[in-house]
Amino acid sequence: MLDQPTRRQALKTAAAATALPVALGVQAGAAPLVQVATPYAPRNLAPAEFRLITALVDMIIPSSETPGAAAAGVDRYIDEKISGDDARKGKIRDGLTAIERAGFSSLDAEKRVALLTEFSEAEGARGEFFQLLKDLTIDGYYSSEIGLAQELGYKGNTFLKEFTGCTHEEHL
Amino acid sequence: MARGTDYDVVVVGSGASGGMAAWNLARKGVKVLILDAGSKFNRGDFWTHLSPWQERERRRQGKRPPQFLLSREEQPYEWVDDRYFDLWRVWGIGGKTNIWGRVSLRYSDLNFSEPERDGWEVSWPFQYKDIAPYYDNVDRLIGVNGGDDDEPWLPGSRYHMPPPGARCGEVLLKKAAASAGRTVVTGRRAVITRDHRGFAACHHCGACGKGCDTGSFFNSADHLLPFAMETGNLEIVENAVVGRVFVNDEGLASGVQYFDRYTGKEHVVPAKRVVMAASCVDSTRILLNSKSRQYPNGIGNGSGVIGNYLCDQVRFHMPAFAPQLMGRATSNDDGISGGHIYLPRFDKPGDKRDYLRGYGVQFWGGGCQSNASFAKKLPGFGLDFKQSVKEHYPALIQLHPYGEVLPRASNRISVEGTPSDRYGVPLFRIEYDIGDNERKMIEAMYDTAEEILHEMKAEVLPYKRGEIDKFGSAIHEHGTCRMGADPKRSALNGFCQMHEVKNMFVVDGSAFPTATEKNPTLTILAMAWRASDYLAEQMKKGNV
Repeated sequence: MLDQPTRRQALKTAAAATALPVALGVQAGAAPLVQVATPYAPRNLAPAEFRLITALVDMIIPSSETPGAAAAGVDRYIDEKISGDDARKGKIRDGLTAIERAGFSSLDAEKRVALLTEFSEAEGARGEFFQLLKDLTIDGYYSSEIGLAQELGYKGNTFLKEFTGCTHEEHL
Repeated sequence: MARGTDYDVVVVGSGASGGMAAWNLARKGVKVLILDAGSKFNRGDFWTHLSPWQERERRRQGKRPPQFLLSREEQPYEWVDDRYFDLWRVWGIGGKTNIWGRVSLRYSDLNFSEPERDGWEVSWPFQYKDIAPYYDNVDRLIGVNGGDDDEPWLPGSRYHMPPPGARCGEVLLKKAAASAGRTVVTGRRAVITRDHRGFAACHHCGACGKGCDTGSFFNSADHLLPFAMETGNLEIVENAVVGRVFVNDEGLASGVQYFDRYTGKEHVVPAKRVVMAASCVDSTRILLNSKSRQYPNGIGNGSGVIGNYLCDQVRFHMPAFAPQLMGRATSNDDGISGGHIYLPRFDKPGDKRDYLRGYGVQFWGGGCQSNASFAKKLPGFGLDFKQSVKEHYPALIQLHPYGEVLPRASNRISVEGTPSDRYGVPLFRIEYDIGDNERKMIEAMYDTAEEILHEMKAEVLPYKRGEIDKFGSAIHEHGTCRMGADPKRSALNGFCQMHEVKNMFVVDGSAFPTATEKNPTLTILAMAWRASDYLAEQMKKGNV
């Protein structure tokens, strides 16, 4: 099992979150002059697990000409998605433990790909973990603006007076 | 109309069938009360025009769009062992027309008289010529778009609005089907493509499933009930969960018991005539629970057929990719959401086949969708995978055959030995399975899908032949209070009037003797219109 968020870590995060606005001179109740992006605090995964998820989803859908899964917030999507679903949460956490036990974090990029490939081709729990992680990554990435609009070029859900359909000579 | 006045007719349910009956009766001067188990879904609250990422952000803020579906926590039901039946129920004004698929296909005499030809169960007690004028009426009233085709299994209409153009993938599917000897026709959908009765034409945002905020597809809550209210002859009680229908000494319906959905308070409204329109399973549950000295098996159930012969359709979903469209520039393919084409049933009476009845094929939407869930079945991960998803994305086509499930006495809804709900009304159990006939038909459905995709040289995602969607996924339940000519084998006559209880009518899908291969709502609307015409006429004559 990976490390659980400790009380000390939680306090540290909370302290950082409250300290920043003060440091920037923001008065209580006043509109902040500077938007401060606080790092996402995972609710269903331990920090180490969350870091692992971030790395893994970015291997499944990496950045190319468009940003990849981590930049699209898929790690956070997964943390939120497994909330209240103990079976799924268990599968994800067990899988993360298994991949960490196989030394994932200490491997270089190439060996990480080899290890994840091994998982993706495995029967049983390892294979199921990979497919679940891949499914969640696909759902999260291709429902984000980065994945659906920027990467795939989705142009829908807008106002069209007429729908003419296919007008390509070569299809008709 | 003041609350509590004498109602001529009490209608249970406000979806396609109840909305139609209430509207038609009210405009004829009949005083109508609707009892619906839910309340109105506010069009202004729909999330129609949110992108997937905007939706996610709203959910993060703890917001939710209107919840159309009744939860199994609020109203449980039972099924047998591993034969789960996924029943979709909407308790709310307009019922399932809030979120229906809008496919609007006429049934033909080949459907109505098929049981007579193949000897399986009972035929419909009317012919196409009897219902055709009502199909015409419904097409004109609700606005159905479609083509000018007229097929043996799919009679044409002179009243279609202009259809949307076929998407690239649909054009290619149509060509491939023709090469395989199959005639694909223009789809028929109850989406208005021209301004109609005060409603704006569809603006092609493709989000119909989230509820239409402009009311541009037929929904009983917008397209029937407000017009009925204007007559001053309709009153609606919301959140009225009907439990039972009571009878008098003559064995006629005399009152309807309902419970406030939220307080549980019991009410009984006197009723001179009752029209059941709560959808197939819910109406049947009420009928079976309406036990009395005269009707120990449920009101109007001397024949014992009520609850039995539950039938719907088997279907599966086969996504594939058109090679001609791989990697093309993306386009807005929303259209009217769902398929713009349809492959009607094509067998001919007398064809040699190893199963009864048949199937038609829908194609749902194709091309660029608001998700890429197909990617879950593409192999690998990493940059190559990402590129592969992008190439496949605009090339998506989808085949979706629907095959008729035979009516069988063993497929049934019952209320014996079930626990009661929070109002003290027995819940129902669904016993359902398919048989050899359906399994053989499913093979033929796969053959047809494969033939078309083979002609197209399409890339098909991995699938297992014979697999079908969950029972109930068609959301086309029928048969549990069927009409027929023989009172020993049916509960209703051809006007949806109970053989045994002259002031009781059942006008929803439960009245269908067969499921057919088609989507039922257009026929439910036509049948409910015809039945309520008959009811008004009989009232005038003093017969009911």
